[in-house]
Amino acid sequence: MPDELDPLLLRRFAQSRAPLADARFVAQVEARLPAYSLRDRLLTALLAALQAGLTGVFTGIAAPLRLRNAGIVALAALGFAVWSIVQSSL
Amino acid sequence: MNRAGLAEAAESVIVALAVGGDRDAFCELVARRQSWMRNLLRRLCHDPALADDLAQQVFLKAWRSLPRLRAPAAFGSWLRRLAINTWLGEVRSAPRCAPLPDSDELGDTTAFLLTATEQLDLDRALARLAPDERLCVVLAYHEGLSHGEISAATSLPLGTVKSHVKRGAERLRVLLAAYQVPAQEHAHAG
Repeated sequence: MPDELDPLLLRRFAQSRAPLADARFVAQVEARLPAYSLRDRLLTALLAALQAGLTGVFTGIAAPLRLRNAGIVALAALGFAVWSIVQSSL
Repeated sequence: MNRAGLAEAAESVIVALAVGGDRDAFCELVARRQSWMRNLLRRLCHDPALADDLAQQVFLKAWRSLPRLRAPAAFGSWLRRLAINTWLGEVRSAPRCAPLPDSDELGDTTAFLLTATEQLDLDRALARLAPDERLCVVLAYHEGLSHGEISAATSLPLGTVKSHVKRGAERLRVLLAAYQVPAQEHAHAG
C-alpha cells in the first residue's frame, strides 16, 4: 500500500521541479574533475583481479562443504589420512 | 564512444563506461543528472548557490567513488545517497543549511512578498523544518520515495521516518498557509 501523502503538498513540490538546464554548471564540474591517471586505472584493475582471484579460491574451498553429507565425507577423508599415516609408520 | 554517441546511449552503458574511467561518459552523466541533483539540493538548502556548490561536490565525490560502484543499475539511488550524505555533512559542519530561526518566520514580510513565488515559499518553509524532518519530507514529496526507501536511504528507523514525514508535512502546510494569507492581502491592496 503506498504511503499516504498530502495532494496539495505533492502539487507544490511538482511545481518546484523546474528543469535546470545549465551548460555552465556541467563545464564547472568538468573543470574540477581530477585526472583519472593510468596509475589509478591499473590499481583499480589490480584490485578487481585480486578480488576475483580471492573469490575463486574461497568458492573452491567452500564448494565441497556445501555438498550433501560433506561432514561424513570429511570425516572419512580424515580417517583415511590417519590410517595411511599409521600404515606408513609401521 | 564520442560525445554524440554518448548523448544517445542508455544510462547503464554510460555508467559502465564512467566506472572504467571514461571522463566524457561521466560528463554526460553530469549533464543528464544535474537538474535533478540541483533541484533536490535546492529543496534541502534554502540557498540556491550553496545547493549548486554541494551538487558539484556530490559529482566530484561520485567521480572518485565510481570505481567502487558494484551495481551500475543502481546509479541513481547511489548518487542520491551521496547527495544526502554530502548535505548531512554540510549541516553538521556548518550552519549554512541549518533551519532558519522561527523569529525570521515572517520577518521582512514586505520585501519577501514583493519577490514571492510559490517555489520561494516552499523553499523558505522547508528551511524552517529540522534537518532530519526536512530530509524525510523532501525525499517523500520531492523524490517520491516510500517510507521504507527513505529509511534505507537515510539509515533512520522506519517509525522515525513516518513521524518526520507526517509532522513535517503538517508544519509545512501551516507555514505555506501563513505565507499565502499575507501574499493575498498584499495582492488585494495593490
